[in-house]
Amino acid sequence: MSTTEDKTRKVKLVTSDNEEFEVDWEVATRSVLIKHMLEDIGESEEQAIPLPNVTANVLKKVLEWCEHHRKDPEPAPESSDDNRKRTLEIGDWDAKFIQVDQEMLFEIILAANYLDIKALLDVGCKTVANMIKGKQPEEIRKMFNIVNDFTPEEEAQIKKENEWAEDR
Amino acid sequence: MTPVLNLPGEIICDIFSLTIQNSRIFPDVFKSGNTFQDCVSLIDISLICRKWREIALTNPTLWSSILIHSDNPTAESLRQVTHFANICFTRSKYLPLTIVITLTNIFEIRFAHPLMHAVISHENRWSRIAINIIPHPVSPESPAIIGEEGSTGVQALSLGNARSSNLREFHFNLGSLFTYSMTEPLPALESLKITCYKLNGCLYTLTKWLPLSLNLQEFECTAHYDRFVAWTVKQNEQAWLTAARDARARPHFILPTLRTLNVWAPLIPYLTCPVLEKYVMDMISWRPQDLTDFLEFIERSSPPLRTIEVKRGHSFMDIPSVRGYFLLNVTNLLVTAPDYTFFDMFSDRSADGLGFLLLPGLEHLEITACDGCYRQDLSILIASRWNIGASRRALRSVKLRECFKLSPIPELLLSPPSDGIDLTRVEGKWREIARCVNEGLLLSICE
Repeated sequence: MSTTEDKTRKVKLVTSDNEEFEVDWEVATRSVLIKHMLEDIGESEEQAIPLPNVTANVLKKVLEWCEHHRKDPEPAPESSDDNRKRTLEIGDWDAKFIQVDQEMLFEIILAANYLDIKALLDVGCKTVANMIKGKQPEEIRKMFNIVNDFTPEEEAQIKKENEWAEDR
Repeated sequence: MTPVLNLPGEIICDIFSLTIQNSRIFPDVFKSGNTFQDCVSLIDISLICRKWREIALTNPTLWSSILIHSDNPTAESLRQVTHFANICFTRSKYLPLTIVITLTNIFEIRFAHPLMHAVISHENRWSRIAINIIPHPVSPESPAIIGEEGSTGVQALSLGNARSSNLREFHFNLGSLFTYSMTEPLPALESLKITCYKLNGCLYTLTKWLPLSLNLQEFECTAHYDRFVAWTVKQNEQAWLTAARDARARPHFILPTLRTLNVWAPLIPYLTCPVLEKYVMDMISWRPQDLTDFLEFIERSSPPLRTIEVKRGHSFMDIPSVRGYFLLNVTNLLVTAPDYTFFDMFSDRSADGLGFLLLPGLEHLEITACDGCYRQDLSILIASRWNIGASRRALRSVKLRECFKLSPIPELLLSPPSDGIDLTRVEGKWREIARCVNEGLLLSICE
């Protein structure tokens, strides 16, 4: 649990490209990874937290999200029924926030995964899921620039397996 | 490498799972329409590239929930559906299964048999099962079309292995299609909803399921008859009669954990439910004997019953054998599509004017699908319950679901400002309700 002292505390973060960010403790600790690292270093305020897997431009974007959600309640622990309750809906602010180019979108997802920010990871995954939903394989490949790497033999085999679904 | 392929496998898997999310939500009510395209989106995903195919095929959880909605399906389209279901069953490996099947406007029940057989062949993995099969209203009924091999033409559908500790919910609208030979307890079964035919068919179902369902929370056994029932009854009625003969004594079922009950009125004498909280009626029976049976059931069970739901609100009749269902200690009333009689009955004051004739302790009223022509009656009902005076007032909240679509409730009433609603800004037809909200009534809507 956070104390009043924690909330006024500043945290220094250093990105992989050596840029330093000073942010409020409440903002930085949206990341479970950073929270645990801060717990490990204790009261040592001057010590910067290294984030070797995040570049400055991505961290800037991630911190924008953390700032907006700084007052959000802690996410509830996962239960076995979680899968049933998830929907593809994204809040208005998050939907606008995540309107970025594909490269940045996947960088945000990777950063959210690394920094352990579940709610941000969820926004990223839902955005990609919404992009995929209802599209044919060729459209999905084109959208994400994915190369069809099946051999002609494999493709023929897969096609045969799925003949039943072709005229659906 | 393309950025999307840089994502770790577990994140890609999560994205796949979200993509098929609609096919994983267990419905409160059955929907109709064609969503097979959505169902098979996993198949499409698995055709993109090697990495995605491997991720999709090696995660059994992605394949363990199957939702199939098909309107007007043909034998060929159901063959495809069955093939898809079988792929899911194989790829989900040993995991418990959630299966939701809605086939509407189907011409012949035998079209659905291959799919039913495929589903039943994995009954030992069932977790949450909901199957709804609705015949096409103008489909032919000729026995020649039903089948060429005698009266049935297809192999019987029998459940015998739904014994696993996984089975949590079983909903099926064509109970007469199956026979049952389960013998193992179903400790996880929380919700059982089956539509049957005739008292014999219902009792057969009760006899087969209830003794195994020790922890049942919700039970629905209603009676229905359509041409699919007529056909399926032919093959299974003998099993019901044999079971009835075997039962010898009149059966009785004590359901120690049941909280919600909705059964055809003639079944009430067979049940005792000591912790029942909610009693649901599709229609309110006007037969005096049904009310007598209900009151004996209440006396026998002594349940903490607080909620009554009526699904067909037009079935209210202002007669003693209907009024009798609304016991004094009931505080919550849920009604769908009420008409004038309902509003009239529940607005009526007692002879001394100090209380109400029906449900004087009504705290929560929930109305679904109220026609716009009853808006004034709703206003009168709420105001009447509210104006009884603070010391005698029981009503606290009103929830409206899918009501007044043509003339929606003003937003102001749903989110009143902290200093109260300015009644001069509210249309006259909503003013009485707005006044009650100002005085503390909790009003909410649900679309």
